[in-house]
Amino acid sequence: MEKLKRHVRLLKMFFSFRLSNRMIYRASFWTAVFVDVSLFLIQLAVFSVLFYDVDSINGWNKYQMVFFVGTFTIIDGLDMFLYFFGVIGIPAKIREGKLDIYLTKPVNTLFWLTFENMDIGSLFTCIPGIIMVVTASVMLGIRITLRRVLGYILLLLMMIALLYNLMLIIRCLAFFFIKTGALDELEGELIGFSFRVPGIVFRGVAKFVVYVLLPYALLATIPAQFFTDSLSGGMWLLVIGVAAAFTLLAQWVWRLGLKHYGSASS
Amino acid sequence: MGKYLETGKVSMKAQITYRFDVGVGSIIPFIRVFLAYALWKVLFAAKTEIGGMSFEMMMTYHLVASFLTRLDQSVNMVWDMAEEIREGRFSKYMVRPISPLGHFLAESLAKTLYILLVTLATVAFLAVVMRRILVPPSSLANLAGACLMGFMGLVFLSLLNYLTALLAFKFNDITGWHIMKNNAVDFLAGALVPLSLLPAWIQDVMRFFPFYYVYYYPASLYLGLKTEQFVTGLIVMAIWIVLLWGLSVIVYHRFRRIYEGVGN
Repeated sequence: MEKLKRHVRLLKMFFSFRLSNRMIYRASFWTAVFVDVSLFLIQLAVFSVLFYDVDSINGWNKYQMVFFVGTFTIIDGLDMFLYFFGVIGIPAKIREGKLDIYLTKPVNTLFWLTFENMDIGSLFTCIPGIIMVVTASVMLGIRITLRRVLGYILLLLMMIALLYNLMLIIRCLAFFFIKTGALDELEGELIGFSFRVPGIVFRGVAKFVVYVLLPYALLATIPAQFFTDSLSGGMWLLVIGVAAAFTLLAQWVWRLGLKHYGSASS
Repeated sequence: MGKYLETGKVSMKAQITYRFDVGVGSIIPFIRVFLAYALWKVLFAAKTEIGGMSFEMMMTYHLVASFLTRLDQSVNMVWDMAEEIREGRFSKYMVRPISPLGHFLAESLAKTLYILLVTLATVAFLAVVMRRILVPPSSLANLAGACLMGFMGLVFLSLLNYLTALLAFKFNDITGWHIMKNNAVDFLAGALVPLSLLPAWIQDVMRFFPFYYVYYYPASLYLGLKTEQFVTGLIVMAIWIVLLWGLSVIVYHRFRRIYEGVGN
């Protein structure tokens, strides 16, 4: 319990440091907001172009698709706010030996690296996401119940954790290889795609790949499917299993990477 | 010219060091085509044509566009150059008897050449495996035209990325601008969806801008579409390349005066 309190205190401290920093460099703060908004608008434009005259896709109607995009936007905003900028900075710290300073501090290294660069401006991206989710719910005539809302929030949190683990695994490969830029590109491709296309379009082997091996298609699809339709017991098991497996895998890769870390020379 | 060739050679040798990165990069076209297949298969379920393209043409479009996207290596060089400027390490280019722009272009084209050799094998493999759902080039002349336009597109992107990197002289952090520019270029150049899906009036306006000719037009030309726009495309691209070249030279000479070379 004491440990948890300590980490919550640390989290508050990281947040307040970043907020002060962002207030000093206001241009950077607003640039981050513009980047997030522009990314959202472009993804929305692509989505609109693709589904302009499509009424339904594998049983999902237009408003379910809107709900899906809104959900992804919320996940994207929250991941950028919480850990995105911390995690993407890990490879550079490994390459330049800057990890040493983190390892010598009496704080969990991964916790520090993850949350030290929280981006407050990214929270703004959640606003259009929430608007889309609410609008779609109204248009779909969904009866809002406590069970539905709590289930949605739980799945959202699980997907944010899954995305974190996927990102971390890729960044940890910098412990073993000098340059991993192509992996970032590959990840960008998969995340961009999972924003534009719901997982329900996949069938057979393709579904296995994007639901289990590279589970990017789960991210927004599952919470949206739960809220606007229904999620079978089997799917719940699959989602929990995949999220747990990737958490364990990420922790294992991180620890293995640390053993491989050779300070400034790695 | 010799010094730029030497720069290119060094850059190519450096690429060989990063075998893992190049290896992963070469499977990106596989992933793109796999994802495109899954998406368009569903969208074409009730239609035979979307945006003037059949399913086979759409798949070919994505393969060609993803191949061209892979070839642009200058986009990643912006990070390195901006960091060199920020950290004060850019001074070495100022004292060498070599133009920074020439150095940037030589390095970028050499990297492209290396990626071309590696990715070509992947794309050729994909073309054989997926021959039933891919369309061969409409004619040799169109293929040559697509290659020429693709090359001009790469030169244009290199100049645009060089200009972006130069902003680091003026602004401390250009990360946001670079990401924003990349997102916009991907959309406007047709890397995400074919521009033929946009309303006709938008396409008409875009024809006067270079992005139209970077990925979308070479892929369309390969498919034998919009061949009548070839000459206009060449002129538009040539004008934009000259404009960007001139702007790069002017901006560099203005910004180098404010460079302190000490880093931060």
